[in-house]
Amino acid sequence: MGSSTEEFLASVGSLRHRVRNDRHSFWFPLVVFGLITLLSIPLYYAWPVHLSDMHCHYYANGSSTCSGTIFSHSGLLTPGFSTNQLGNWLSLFWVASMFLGYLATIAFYRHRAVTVGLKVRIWPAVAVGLGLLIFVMLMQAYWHTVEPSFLNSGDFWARGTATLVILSVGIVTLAVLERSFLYLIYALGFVFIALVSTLYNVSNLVQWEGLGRFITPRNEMIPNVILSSLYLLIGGFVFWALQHDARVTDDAVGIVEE
Amino acid sequence: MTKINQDVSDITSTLDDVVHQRTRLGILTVLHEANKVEFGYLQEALGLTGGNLSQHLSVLEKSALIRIEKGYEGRRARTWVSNTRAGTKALRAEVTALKALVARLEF
Repeated sequence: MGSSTEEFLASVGSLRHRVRNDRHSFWFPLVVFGLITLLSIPLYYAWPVHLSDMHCHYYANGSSTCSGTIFSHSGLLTPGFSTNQLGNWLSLFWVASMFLGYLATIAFYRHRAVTVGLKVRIWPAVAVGLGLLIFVMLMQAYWHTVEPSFLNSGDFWARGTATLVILSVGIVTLAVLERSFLYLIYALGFVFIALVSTLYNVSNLVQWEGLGRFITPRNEMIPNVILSSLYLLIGGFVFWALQHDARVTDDAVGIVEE
Repeated sequence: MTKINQDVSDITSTLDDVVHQRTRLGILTVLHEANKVEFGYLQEALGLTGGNLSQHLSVLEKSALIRIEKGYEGRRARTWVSNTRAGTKALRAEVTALKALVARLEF
């Protein structure tokens, strides 16, 4: 009896594994948001825009250090990003692309539900991701009218990549809904990557690798964006491959076979 | 009656006859992993005929352990099945009891 009960529990476990694998679509939003992040790169070129305000020192090894005032109030999602309208365009890009990205994710999950026959609840991830985005914009709009200098404080807004941190919260919520420990670990890794991209100049790492001659004040933020974009795209393709492989090798479950 | 036999008897008395049946436990397990599951998916995943699956679904529905919704996806008729709270609770209780049973017998 013990052995057959154990076998039965094992077959329940493998049935759960199979259904989870069939319902997972986590790779899709990763690829979509990875591509969106990649597409934002041209808007990060020319940072900071007012080079005349900057005082740069160029070293013999090709690296450079710059100082100067770069903060202003351009864009609700990029308040400290640039001294002209580029920040507004970048904010507009992020708002529009986040909405489109989540819409594409909803459409894909719906399509999968119909074709596979498994409906998964993803609205909490969409609500958290877009809700946080709207909340941050409203807060920025409020603080902009009340105390503009508040926006200039801290590194969080300075690089124009704070939206990645907001996105990472949505990705974590989606990973929780997908009920996969592996996805959750990956999503928490993206929170870390997004924070690095927001709080640190990734170009510093590039300079250590001797590639500093390619980094100028105009493209200094691009490595930050590339880092997050690559993390999402590679994660998306790896999860797609793993899921595809699991589907091909999945054996018959046999829970009802005696 | 020995202590182990008494324990096993106590555990088996907690098993619900409706849920304990292999196929119905399989149905509840699949339903637990998704919000709603299409009839065709259940049939394929559990390797059942349409008639057989319908019979088991009807038993579970009568016990208020599942909910059945019929509708259309475009022109195609679809039947979506989902767990009720009672169904989720019953599944958890069943799996817990089975695990306890295995643990007792391994001892």
